[in-house]
Amino acid sequence: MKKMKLLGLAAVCLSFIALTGTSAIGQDTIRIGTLYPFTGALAMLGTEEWRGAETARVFQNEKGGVLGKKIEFVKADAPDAKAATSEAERLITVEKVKIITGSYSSSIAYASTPVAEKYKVIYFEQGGIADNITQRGFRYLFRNNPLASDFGIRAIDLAEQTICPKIGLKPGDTKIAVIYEDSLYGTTVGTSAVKYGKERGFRIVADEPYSAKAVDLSSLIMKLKSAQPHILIATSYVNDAILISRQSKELKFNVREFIGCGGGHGTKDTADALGDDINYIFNVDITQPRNTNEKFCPGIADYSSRYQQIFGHPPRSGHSLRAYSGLMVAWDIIKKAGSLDAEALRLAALSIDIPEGGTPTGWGVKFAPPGHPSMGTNLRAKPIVMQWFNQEQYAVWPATAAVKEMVIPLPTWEERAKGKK
Amino acid sequence: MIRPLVQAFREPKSYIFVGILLCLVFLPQIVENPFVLHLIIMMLFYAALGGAWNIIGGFGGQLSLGHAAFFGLGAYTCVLLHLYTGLNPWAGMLVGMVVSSVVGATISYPCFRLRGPFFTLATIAFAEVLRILATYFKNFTSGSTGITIPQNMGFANFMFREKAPYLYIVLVFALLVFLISYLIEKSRFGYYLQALREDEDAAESLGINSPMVKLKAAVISAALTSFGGVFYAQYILFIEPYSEFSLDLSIQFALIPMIGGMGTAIGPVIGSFVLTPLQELLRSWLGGGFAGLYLVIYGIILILVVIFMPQGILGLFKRKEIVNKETLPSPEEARSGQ
Repeated sequence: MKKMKLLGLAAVCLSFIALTGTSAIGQDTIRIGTLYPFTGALAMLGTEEWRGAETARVFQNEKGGVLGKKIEFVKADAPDAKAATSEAERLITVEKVKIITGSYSSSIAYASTPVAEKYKVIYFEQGGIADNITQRGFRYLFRNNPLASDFGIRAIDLAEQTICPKIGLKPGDTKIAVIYEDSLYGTTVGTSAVKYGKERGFRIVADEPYSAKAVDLSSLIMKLKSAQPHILIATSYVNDAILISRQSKELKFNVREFIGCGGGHGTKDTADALGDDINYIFNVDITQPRNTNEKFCPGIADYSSRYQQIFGHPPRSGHSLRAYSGLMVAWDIIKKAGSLDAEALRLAALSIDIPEGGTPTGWGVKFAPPGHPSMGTNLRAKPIVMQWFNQEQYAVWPATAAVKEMVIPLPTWEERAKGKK
Repeated sequence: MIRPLVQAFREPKSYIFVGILLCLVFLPQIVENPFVLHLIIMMLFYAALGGAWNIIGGFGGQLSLGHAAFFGLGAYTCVLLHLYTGLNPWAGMLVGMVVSSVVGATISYPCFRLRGPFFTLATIAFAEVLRILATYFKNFTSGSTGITIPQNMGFANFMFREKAPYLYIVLVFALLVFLISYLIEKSRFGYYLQALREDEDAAESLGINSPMVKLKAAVISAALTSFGGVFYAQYILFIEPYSEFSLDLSIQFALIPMIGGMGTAIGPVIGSFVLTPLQELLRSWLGGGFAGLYLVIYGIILILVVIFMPQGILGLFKRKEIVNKETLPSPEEARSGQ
């Protein structure tokens, strides 16, 4: 009896394994694996980014697909790095896809891209920003979006070129405090801001990582208050971004200018929680689908209306826009290659040359050639600067993307309180 | 020590075990699909780590939810030694096991004075502290950026392009954990542990040196978990604090023996062979459709198992056996008959 049950159990296990081996391979479609976190802590924006990809797929299929075939997505859920390696393995060896796109999060991209590289499968990365993803010399990985260090550089550029002249200080006299949440995202952006800030001659008076899960950041704010920075550069998720502004207000910590670097400082949730306290804060971020100059990012209105048609509401953030933009370029690459052969696709991707302002994100496309320290990354993708007005963010810098004049300096908490009366 | 093994091979059920083992040994020759091999590696990997947890958690009844600490400690020790001193990963693995044992002993000793939920909370905190330290000392550990292990394939470097060598290594690892668990199950030491689990005061009154017994079990468990950490680092070739020291991982280690059958050598193996493929397959079948549906189904299955099989899957077989056996039931069988 017992043996029978054990055997039964073994049989069930084996049939499970056998079943994974059987999978239909589509003939008249181009199958592309989409590897995103659809569940877990990253699910909200992961799903949002996938929706951008889906919009690009539907749009292209309406135009007849690519190479005369319809495009089909194979969805894979990768809530964390461990699942990402498993799912990349499955997409390639079981589903037999020739192209993968993903992955919203840097840690997921970091874990899944070596699998694709091993099997010589083209990986179009749309979201992972950590610099080191493309510093491993991978030949089949192409990243469309800007690097984490670009966010730090952009923040320092903003400080040097627009804030310093307005507040009448030279970089050498300007004190900058850099704070960032201590996971991969905050650390890479924050350290690049510190590095480039020092290079440009700013005085970095604080370089403080903190945990995004913290429920009290008052000790950090007190530390900043005693350092008396002119400019604060923060890289945060939503809850900690809310906490920083609220506790700065309580502790009357004022700066001449506050620069957020994406994440929580570019999210509607933060604005809802902070109300008018978010106004005039700068946000260095990827291109947003609203309030950006359409001359800078051609096709952005068309994108928003298509997204609305498919999902019934306007795009929630710029994450979907960057995936849409990246995949519209990917279709061109496939057309140019003429087949799904990895080598042909690779050469086609390397030959793509789109000037800045040529895609719906406003980014140009030129992938760094082999031998470049971050080969495969898009050298023409740069974050832009938004500013919050009336709890909405508007592009303000560079001038080509701007729809509003920027306001400098940031009013103090006391001025804001008076202004309300 | 050998006697229980010899005895075991007189029983016919052990031949099923040997049969499955032989299948696994020849599997890479038959199966070429890397995903299936990956799945089997993960099944064996979690069987081994569930088994390592089971030594202190299952036999000893100390519900630790901080075993990821030893997992991460092993991985970080091995990788950092390899990077900074060029130490061979195999040797680094042994160093990692020693470090984990020592840390396991020093941390466990005071923690064992805490009982029930307080012990569990202390273990969670311990793993969290290690994660924060690994994040904080970024000049040394690269912080949350993580460390990529430079590729240099070959047996000497514990790094392979193919999946088959990993399968053999993890198979040996799982077997080792199983054998140690089996010997503990049949030994006086195992009975001490089980006595402690059932009633610590009663066990002490019978002369069992409870801190010493628990400590020994904790050290064995920590060392084996550390081996798992090194294996995983060498398999993925990338480590970072959030995934190495994560609470999810600690829970997974505890969940596998709980579902399979706590406090038995074969329980974690059954648990992993059911749960790991279940999780992976549910994700691959349903992950593409309605987001999160597979987690709901996985969760429901777990709840059903806990409600209807409180002794784990193994409990199903055990209950029948008691009726059939004429001899006195062994302690764990008596338990399942309660």
